[in-house]
Amino acid sequence: MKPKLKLRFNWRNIDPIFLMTLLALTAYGLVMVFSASAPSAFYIHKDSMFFFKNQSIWAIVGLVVMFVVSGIDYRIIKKFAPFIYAFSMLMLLAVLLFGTTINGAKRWLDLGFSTIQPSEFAKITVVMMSAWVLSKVNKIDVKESIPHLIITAAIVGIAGILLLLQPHFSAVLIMVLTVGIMMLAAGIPMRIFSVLAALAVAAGTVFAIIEPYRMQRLVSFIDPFKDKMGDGWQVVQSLYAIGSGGFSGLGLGRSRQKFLYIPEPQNDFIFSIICEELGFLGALAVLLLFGILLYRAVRIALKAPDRYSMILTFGLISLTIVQVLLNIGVATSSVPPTGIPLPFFSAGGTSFVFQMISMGMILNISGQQKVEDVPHI
Amino acid sequence: MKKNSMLKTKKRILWLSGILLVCFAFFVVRISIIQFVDGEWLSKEAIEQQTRDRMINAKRGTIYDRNGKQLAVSADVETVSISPITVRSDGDPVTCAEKLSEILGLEKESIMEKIQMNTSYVLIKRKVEKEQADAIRAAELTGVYLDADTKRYYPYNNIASHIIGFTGADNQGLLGIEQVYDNVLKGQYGRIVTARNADGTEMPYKYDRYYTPEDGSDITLTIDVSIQHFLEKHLEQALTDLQLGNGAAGIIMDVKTGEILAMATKPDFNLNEPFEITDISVKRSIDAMTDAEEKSKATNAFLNKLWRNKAVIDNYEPGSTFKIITSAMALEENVVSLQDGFTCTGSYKVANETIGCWKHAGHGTLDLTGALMNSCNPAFMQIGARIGQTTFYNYYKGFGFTEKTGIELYGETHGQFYPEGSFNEVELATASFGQGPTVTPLQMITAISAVANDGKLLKPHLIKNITDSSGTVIQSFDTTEVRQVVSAQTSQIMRGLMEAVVSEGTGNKAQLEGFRIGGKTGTSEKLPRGSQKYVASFAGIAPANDPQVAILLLLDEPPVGNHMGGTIASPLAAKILDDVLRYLDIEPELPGDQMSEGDAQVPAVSGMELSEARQVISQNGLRCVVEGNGNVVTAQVPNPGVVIARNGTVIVYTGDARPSNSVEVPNVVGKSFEEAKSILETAKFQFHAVGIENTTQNAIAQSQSVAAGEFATIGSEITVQFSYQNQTQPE
Repeated sequence: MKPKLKLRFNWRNIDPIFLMTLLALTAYGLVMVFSASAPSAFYIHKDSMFFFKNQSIWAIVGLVVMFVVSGIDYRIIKKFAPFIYAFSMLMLLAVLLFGTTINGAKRWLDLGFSTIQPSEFAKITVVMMSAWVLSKVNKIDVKESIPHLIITAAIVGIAGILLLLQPHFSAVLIMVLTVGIMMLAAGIPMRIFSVLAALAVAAGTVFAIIEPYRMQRLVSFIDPFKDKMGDGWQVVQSLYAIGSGGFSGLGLGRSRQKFLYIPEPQNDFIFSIICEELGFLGALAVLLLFGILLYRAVRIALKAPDRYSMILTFGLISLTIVQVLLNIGVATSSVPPTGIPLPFFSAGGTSFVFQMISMGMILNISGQQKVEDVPHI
Repeated sequence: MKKNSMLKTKKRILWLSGILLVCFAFFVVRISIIQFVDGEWLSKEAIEQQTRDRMINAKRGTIYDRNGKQLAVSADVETVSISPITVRSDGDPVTCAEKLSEILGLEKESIMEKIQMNTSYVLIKRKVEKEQADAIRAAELTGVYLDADTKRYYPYNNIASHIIGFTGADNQGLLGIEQVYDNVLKGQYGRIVTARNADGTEMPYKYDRYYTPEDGSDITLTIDVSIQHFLEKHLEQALTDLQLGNGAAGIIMDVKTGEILAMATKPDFNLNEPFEITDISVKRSIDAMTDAEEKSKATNAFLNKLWRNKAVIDNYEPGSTFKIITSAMALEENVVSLQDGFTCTGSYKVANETIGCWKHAGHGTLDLTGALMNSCNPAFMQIGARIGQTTFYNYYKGFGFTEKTGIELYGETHGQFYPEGSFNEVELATASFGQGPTVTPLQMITAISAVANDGKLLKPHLIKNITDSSGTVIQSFDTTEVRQVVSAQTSQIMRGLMEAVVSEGTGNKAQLEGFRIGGKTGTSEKLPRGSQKYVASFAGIAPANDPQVAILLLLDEPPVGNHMGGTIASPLAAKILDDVLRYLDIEPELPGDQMSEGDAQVPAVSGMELSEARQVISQNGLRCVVEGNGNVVTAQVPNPGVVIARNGTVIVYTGDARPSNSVEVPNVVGKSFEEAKSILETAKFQFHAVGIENTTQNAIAQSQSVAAGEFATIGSEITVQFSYQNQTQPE
């Protein structure tokens, strides 16, 4: 017999610190997009506000979407999860058929008024679906959990294959890492997890070998200064930027590396510009805000009303944090270079809106309160 | 069961969050390392790529002679460079290349090639004159930059080339004072630092820093350009007239201060073109070489030899000039008195070796004065023996021959002598008359000056003072006394002896009417003995009673047969001192009647009535020869101001008569003094006799400066060399 819980969403119950933290991150991100993008916006579009204006619109859209999503009961979304997942996979398929190719990769769908990146959508739907399946793993029993694991693997696998065809390796990496964390959270025995992890690493190695440019990136990661005019360029420029910052930075807006040295400084390498302009303090502020976000989300997860919302909350925050860690890892030359945006900071409409959707879902979960007077059976 | 799995999930979430937090901590550390440990070099490299650093050369200081005449000056020029990326993106490559090639005279294709380069800075041309730079500015070419630079000019070209030195492309001193005092002259360069983006164009906001250049200091030399000119003029003449095999060197020094008034090495070079090979035969043979390496080797070897300052670098055996030093030692040590007699039988036996005198018949008995006047080797061997090895060596050292003088030039050497206490009697004997020890010309003149200057050995120097760009004296160089070598009394005697050598002895060709010159000639054979290569030299002082200047001349490898210091170095010294002493306004001292051939200056008589001209000319102690039948003087030879021998002829032209340029020179060789004089004066030449001692009797003309049958300008001076019949000329 399942216990009957009466839950009610209440705006007054949502986690205020989590909300304030993500608002702070949004504001910080907008300021940095403006600062970082001004020179390239000026050089390319002859308008230093170009990217900033665009991002501001998306920020407003994202905030509105977040508030809307936070008001929708997560259980309603759960019901539609398979359909939403299926829809996102169709969109990935559509990308392969009708997508726009930029720099040799087909990742974008042109909607006429804007281009969107369905991979951002897929990241969330994969997390939602995985949380749904993993929440069914009730027993800490190897045999019983195997079917769930196979289903989860299939959920990631379908999305992964579609993404690899674009190709969009970094998105697959993020998904695999996030779902891996979710599996562990769901209580998967370590033995099975080790086997899966080994398989993932083996697959990753194969991919690195069959695509020579990935291998090259790995090599350049070991010593980026060896070929600083070629493969090492981006990372070297990023290190120059971080190194120039010192304790308190060159001052907001005073980055020199954003002047065409770092390509698209408002995107994947925005963290380096933060380090250059605001120094160690600025970088610490970014890490601190994400740390608070993680802490509050974990708190929400631990208080979550059911296993699904618990795993979903932790899965969504893991998705964010994994991207943060990988992005900073690339900027600081701690992991091999790969194109991963910094959530809340990197310019880009789709990623921001979907980031806000996931934050909205967490907010909704935080607002779910057990009603006191429901009798326990 | 559900509760159980919820609990497990919560636990898992907690430790997974822990892992994520550890990752955060890792990045805090990682960023700290990048910013605080590697930050310094990373930001340095970043700034390097972000900035365009342009140097502004400081103005190099001027080098002046002692009277403020500019010997080396810097003028503003500009350096032209381009930013190829900017030219291609924002400018017009074709126009740019065309304009630059037109203004700068460069090949259009090579500029075009530079524009295609993938960089943000390419040098086009250095040291561009202001006019051309202005033309480039006027053309308003995008991506073309002009930076200030300076260029060195040497207004006197070849004068004092070895002393002044020159600078290279980066304005760095490469020789002489320019090199030695490079740090003083060059100042501190300034910089303009401009921010630039990855494309090489300048950033839209200010990141400019300007560091002001600090101009170099000026240097005033002790050199007097006029004296330098006199020295060089005569040395140059000697170089070609005598066909010297290995060049010549000369130094004139202020006896009382140690200041070098002139120092020259021949052949020399033009400071404005120091790398140019002007010697046609050398140039031809180098041009004929096909191997590039061989060619550059030969060029370098030639230039390095040309740039070598013989006056401070060359070691030579001083020969008889050293007898002055030996005499001073002997007098100072009281081992010889002026009354002591020395016997010369034509040779002298030391230990088991017999060493001859230049006069095989022997000089008979001579006192010290006679020994020096006649440059008698046996007498000096005896004097040397009296001085003794240890004392001799101590004086050799005392006169400064064992150490560099410390003059402000690179490459200076010092004399070589047998090691202290390890030379034998024979070596002492030869050293006494200047064979064995070596000296540099600078050391020799310094030692002679010490002998003349009350025994005070002064440090020779080339720099009077250093002033900063505002004219304030930063450093001045005064007279430095190294040590007292001999007493003032000895010095006084020596001055008399040196004068005697010139007035009556072997140095007589250095005689100068009206002035008291002291000195000694020397001839030494280069090693190995028997090489038939000689060095002829003259070391002297003037005026002998109150020395102002010392002079040292070194003629390297004169042709055999005309290699004696007495015949070639002494007359040269006389000519130079003549110019120098007059220039220095040193009053002639000897009474006029002793001037058998005193000089006179030719007055200006053109435009005068003939009678008036005659009167003026005779008043100047000259004779007048009239050409033409007019009443008014229309022209004259020689020109006004020219100094000729007293009783010389001034030809005045009247009416239609015009000076014809040249006439045939008659032969006077073999003639007596009177005959030669009359023949040359009749032919309208100035007669100049050399080699005449006290009397003209028995003097026979040996040679004449312009050979018979050749043509020479009317009124020009023909020098006739006389010698006495039945008597060998002493060395």
